[in-house]
Amino acid sequence: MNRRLPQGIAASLLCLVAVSASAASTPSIDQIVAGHIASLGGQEKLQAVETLKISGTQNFNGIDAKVTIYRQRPNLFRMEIEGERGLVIQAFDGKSGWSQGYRRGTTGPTPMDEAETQILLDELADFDGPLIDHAAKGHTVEWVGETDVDGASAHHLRLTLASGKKQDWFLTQDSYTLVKKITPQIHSRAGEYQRIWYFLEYQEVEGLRFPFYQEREDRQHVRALTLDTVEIDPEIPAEMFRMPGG
Amino acid sequence: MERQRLLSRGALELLGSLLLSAVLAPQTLGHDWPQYRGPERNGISTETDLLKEWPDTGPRELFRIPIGHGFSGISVVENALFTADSDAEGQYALKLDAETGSVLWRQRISENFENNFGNGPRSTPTVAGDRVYLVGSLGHLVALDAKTGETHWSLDLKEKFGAEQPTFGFSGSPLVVGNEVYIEAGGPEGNSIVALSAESGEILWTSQSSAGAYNSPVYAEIHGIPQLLVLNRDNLVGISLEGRLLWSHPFAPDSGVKPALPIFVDPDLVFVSASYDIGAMVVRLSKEGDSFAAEEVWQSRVMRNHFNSSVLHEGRIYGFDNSALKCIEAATGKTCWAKRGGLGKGSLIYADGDFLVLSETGTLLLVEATPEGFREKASTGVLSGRCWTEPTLAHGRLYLRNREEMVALDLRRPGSAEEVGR
Repeated sequence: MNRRLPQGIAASLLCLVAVSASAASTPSIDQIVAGHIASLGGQEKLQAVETLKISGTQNFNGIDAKVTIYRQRPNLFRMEIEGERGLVIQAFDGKSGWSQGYRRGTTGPTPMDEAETQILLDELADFDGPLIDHAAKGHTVEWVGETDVDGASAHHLRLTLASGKKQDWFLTQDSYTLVKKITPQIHSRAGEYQRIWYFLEYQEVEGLRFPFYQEREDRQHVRALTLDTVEIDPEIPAEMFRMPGG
Repeated sequence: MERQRLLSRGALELLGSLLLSAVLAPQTLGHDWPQYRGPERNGISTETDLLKEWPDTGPRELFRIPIGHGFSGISVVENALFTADSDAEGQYALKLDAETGSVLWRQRISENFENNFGNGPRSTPTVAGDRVYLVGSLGHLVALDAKTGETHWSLDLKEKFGAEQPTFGFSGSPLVVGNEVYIEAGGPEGNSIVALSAESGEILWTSQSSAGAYNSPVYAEIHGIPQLLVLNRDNLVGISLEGRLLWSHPFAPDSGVKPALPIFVDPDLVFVSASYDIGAMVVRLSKEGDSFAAEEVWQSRVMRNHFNSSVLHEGRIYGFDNSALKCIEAATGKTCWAKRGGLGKGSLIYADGDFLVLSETGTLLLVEATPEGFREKASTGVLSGRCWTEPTLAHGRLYLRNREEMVALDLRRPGSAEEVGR
């Protein structure tokens, strides 16, 4: 005699099994964050670094420009772009942001306003990035789900920063390597939009891993940065970060 | 009896439609590339016997010549190339020898067009019969004698149709079907898409009121009806060759930059894509009686073509999502693969089982046409700087240009018919 479960019960059981399997295979936020930090070389090694100098070439609209990024713990930042329209600088000295170059329509350095400074802080200035010690920094992290990034499945995390701004991070399934990030931006005419970043071609430098190819999409504008060198703990004069005459 | 009569009438209509199509379909000769995006305006070449492996130094270079600024594509008919360029004095249509690159004639169209992203013309010449049709970036549509370059007729799209000067310049490439020239003029009050007599330039009809979107009409026969597919500022539209609006579907309304051409996916789908954070959409067209209806199948940000169009191959769309080369399923929008890094906002055409991909900075790649993954078979540096013009393939030769020079490469396999016949 064949005994069969009623269809409704069988379906419910199947659902339970599927949910349990999914729950079992989904790592916790802590596991994902720990995996991500490990993918960069580990928290100890990362936090032993005091300064970084990153050099590369940025291509924008088919035209190359030389890029140099200087960083110093905890959040000092300076990016220089030397292109066909001269030198452009974006910097944060630990308290204030400033910039210089054609985008401002001036040749001299100009202080950033509060909104611009906050964007720079949220996106770039935090030396370790927002995931390391995220709770102590006042950030929260939630797992949104699994999603497709360029044809491969990725963990989708949503970070709510202490500033209230949200970022979406996409980490590979296997190694928790950051491959994509979405950050909020404001365009002077188009208003709010999503800036999309891609991180590829990770290479090891003194035990740490850096994405040697990075793309930044601002609507139709794509800036592709290919790194040439990453220098760990170079000497960087403090005045590099300060606005001249500021 | 009634059924038999109906069948007969249906068969007659089908036959009539087929005959009409045969007469109207854009005519091409052998392996010419007579217009923007090739014989069928879809980025597909029917050439075979092309090199499957390249020497380390790349395919043999036939010639390299200086050329003035412009993004116009290169059209090829028999042994002649047609393109456009500019200098401080003006914009020009050009005819060159396809084997040597020597200039056969250079005809001024108008004064120059200057723009931060690059000066000069954007439109690609269309060669039909003994005429060459081209739009300058300031809106001058000209019909030139293919042999001599003399002007048969010309008109100013701004003056004639009230079109405003587009920020990036008039960019549409004329489509010639039968004895008519179609162009997105972009004028208001019913003057957005226009049909002109190829012989005289006489206005035959005008349609639609949305401003232009840097787009060009594409010819397709959908459910047996010949029609023009065009993207304008607000909609994707299908217009009969007599100027009747057959169907319309909104696509990123009030967005004025959509230069990538619509792609017809047989039997009833149309794919469109645009950058500026817009994405892609596929609509399904149905027909009842004389009425068409368009229903959205999917829409997403998965493919955002900026300057150049995607290519359809075996149910998949291959194209540049901003600066990532992707393969997606046409029916669903699902990503098959993506190649990110190193290509910029490139362009591609299909030929002989592969894609010829030109990166934004002038590297040429041979990439296998497969949904299974990005498989690069060969690559070589050909040009530098800003390379926004799609490749042209005709008679086994590949023609590439940037804003300063034009290069011809020999892709013919030794012993191939094209190679033997040279």
